[in-house]
Amino acid sequence: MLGRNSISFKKRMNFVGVCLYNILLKSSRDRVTGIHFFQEMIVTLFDIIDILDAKVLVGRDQLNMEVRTAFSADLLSDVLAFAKAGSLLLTGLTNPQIVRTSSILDIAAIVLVRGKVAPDETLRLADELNIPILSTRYILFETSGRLYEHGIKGCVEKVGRDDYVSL
Amino acid sequence: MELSHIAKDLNLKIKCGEELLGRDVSGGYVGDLLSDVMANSKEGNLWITRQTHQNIVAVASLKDLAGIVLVQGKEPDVDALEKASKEGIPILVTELSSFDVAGKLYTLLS
Amino acid sequence: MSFNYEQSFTIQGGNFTDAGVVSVFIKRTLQKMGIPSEILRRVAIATYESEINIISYARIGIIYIRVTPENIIINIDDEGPGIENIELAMRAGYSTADEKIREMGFGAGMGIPNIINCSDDFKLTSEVSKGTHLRILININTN
Ligand SMILES: Nc1ncnc2c1ncn2[C@@H]1O[C@H](COP(=O)(O)OP(=O)(O)OP(=O)(O)O)[C@@H](O)[C@H]1O
Ligand SMILES: [Mg+2]
Repeated sequence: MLGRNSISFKKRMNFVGVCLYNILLKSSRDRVTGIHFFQEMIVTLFDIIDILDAKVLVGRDQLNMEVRTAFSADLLSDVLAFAKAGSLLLTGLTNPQIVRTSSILDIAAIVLVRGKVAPDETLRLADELNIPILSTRYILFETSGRLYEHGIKGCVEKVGRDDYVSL
Repeated sequence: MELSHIAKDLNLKIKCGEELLGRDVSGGYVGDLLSDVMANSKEGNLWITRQTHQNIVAVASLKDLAGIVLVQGKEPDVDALEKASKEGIPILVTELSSFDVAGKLYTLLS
Repeated sequence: MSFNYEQSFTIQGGNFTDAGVVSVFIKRTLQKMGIPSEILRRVAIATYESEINIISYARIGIIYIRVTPENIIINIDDEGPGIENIELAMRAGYSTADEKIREMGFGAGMGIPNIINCSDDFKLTSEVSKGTHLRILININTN
């Protein structure tokens, strides 16, 4: 996922794609057209900072990280049940549990919405467990929408077997 | 944009309030914490959430939201459905995640 | 590859500050042992949900984990109120979580169903006002 050192041919092509895409993005307002040119969009945390006009609270050294999927929730119960490894977690929660939950699930990075600033214990823990945290002033709807427009996909993953779940 | 148009475009299933789908949707709001939705949603917003209990109807009613979309295949609780019918709050459901519903609605509205 | 490891951890009920510390530690430990990531994820989720449940509902609990070349066994024993209706507790959406737990983002009644989803074998027993016992088995498939 973060294999920046082993740039395969495909990744290089993708990189070219992203550069072209970024040019397209800056030269025209028609973002959605850009997406269709390239099957698989690679978006880095650097791009996300741009897209969401976000601040980096933790993980300045990890902004090259690539993400493809995201999960929006204010309930960690749902994150634990459905979020895929390597996804972004978009949330209005700020307590330290968002970090431990992310660590358990291999969530790539956390985006706090509505201009939330996490308490110190959350930031310290994120630093310790190596999980970047960004903060945007947009609401969760706008945050999700902007990332979706840039090719990030939603994820709903079921872990393990399915035959027990009785709703 | 009219709620009926959104329901059709996003393939949402209508649980109640079919007669109210002519309503105008001013934007979307994603949130699973009722206090947040109470504080920050705007009149006419279509509320995207995973909460299914009857309190969501009170919030939608108080804040004059256009309707509620339940995500990830969640069904409204029986009393939520009853209350929503009585108070005129459309409830729609989808298999999609909050992120995807928000993404599609955002694209549709912009 | 052959895995051999066992360890016990004590979890204090009500200690929300440290909620998840043990599970994150277990995950790291198994990761260093080279447990496949899909298995690792299931173990991590199952222990984390259990740890949160002890902290949320019980007085004190012990998480015991044993890794063998074939499988991973997790036993969770707690002293606490126990569960009156186990069938109900296993149902997605059932929860008695209080406001404090909900504010943290838990309490949607998804924990036990999620543990079951992560397990190859699962047993939940409980005695009211004594405690709860959980046995989770996860096979290590190396094919
Ligand atoms: N160790 C325990 N001791 C006593 N009761 C428990 C214990 N674990 C679970 N329960 C009971 O079972 C219910 C369901 O547990 P479960 O973990 O599935 O959901 P939850 O903890 O309520 O919410 P979530 O796990 O989604 O955050 C709890 O609300 C509680 O009533
Ligand atoms: Mg639980």
